[in-house]
Amino acid sequence: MDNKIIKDLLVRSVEGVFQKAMISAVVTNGSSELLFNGKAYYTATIGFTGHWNGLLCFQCKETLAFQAVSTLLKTDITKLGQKQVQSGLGEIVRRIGEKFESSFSGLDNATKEPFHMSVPSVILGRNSHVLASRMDSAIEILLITQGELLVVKFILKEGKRNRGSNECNRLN
Amino acid sequence: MDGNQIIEAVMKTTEEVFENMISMKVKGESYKKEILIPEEHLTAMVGFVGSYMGLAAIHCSKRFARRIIGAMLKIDSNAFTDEDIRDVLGEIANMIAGHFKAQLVESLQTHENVFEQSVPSVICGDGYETCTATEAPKYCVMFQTDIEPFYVELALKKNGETEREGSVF
Repeated sequence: MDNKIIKDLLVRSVEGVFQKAMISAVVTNGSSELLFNGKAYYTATIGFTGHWNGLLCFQCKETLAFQAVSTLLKTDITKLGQKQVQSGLGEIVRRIGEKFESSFSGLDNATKEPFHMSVPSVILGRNSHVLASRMDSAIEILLITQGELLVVKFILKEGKRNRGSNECNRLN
Repeated sequence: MDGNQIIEAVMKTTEEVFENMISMKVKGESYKKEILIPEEHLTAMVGFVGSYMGLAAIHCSKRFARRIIGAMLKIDSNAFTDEDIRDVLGEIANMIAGHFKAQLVESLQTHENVFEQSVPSVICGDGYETCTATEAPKYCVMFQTDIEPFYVELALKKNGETEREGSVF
């Protein structure tokens, strides 16, 4: 599958959840590492498996995280606690995954259900990085929404289901 | 499986993985407090989904990760890179989830493939906290070793809840 097609679908999926009007730009060159350096930010991740296997995550600073969850829950931003924000971000990454799956299954005609998503997890970090195995190359997209950076990372692999126990042999 | 059985399965699973892969005996106990590792540390997570869904994670200090990976690969703990550490710790999380699946299948007396695992991810740093953003019950076990403790967390629920749909904003 062409990375450009996946990137386009991913941007549309994020726009679909964050509402197209809120996304003011897709940044074509920039480093998420530099922009987040030293600042507290959230990372919401969700794994998925099935005919296609992978991981979806998005990262944003606290300001955007609170704004997004405030809109999601229709709650005053000042009344939001950290638990609500974490839970809301988990829901947002799940919805991005759902939108991607829906668009993707239209392309991948042979597979009506390209993957199933597991449960989301959310990380709040200041000096931390979320990484996948070096064997898995990630697609990274930087978007600007509400004047804030939103980083989306995505790993998509076809066919190889991860069966866990079988991996023991490889490491022996 | 009830909560106690899940905790026991996590203990057995992790003990097996550490004994078989790292030749290290570890002893687990149920842990209900906040996980605090006061130095640079790592969390390797793997999600899974099927008739059961959830997340398995291992938390340990970077120093401990280096030691266990050195023992596992039988090389000096300074002879490998940060990338090696994250790859191997991701595999350990993967193995823990895989072994747990075997226990779950056995307890359910089924031949069904109860879940498939997604791609592992690893968080590293010295100032982060993780949260499983789900209603799934969470179980945590602290493992004592000769070096220092590490933690294994599992979130697990039966798949069948109605998923919500639609645009957020």
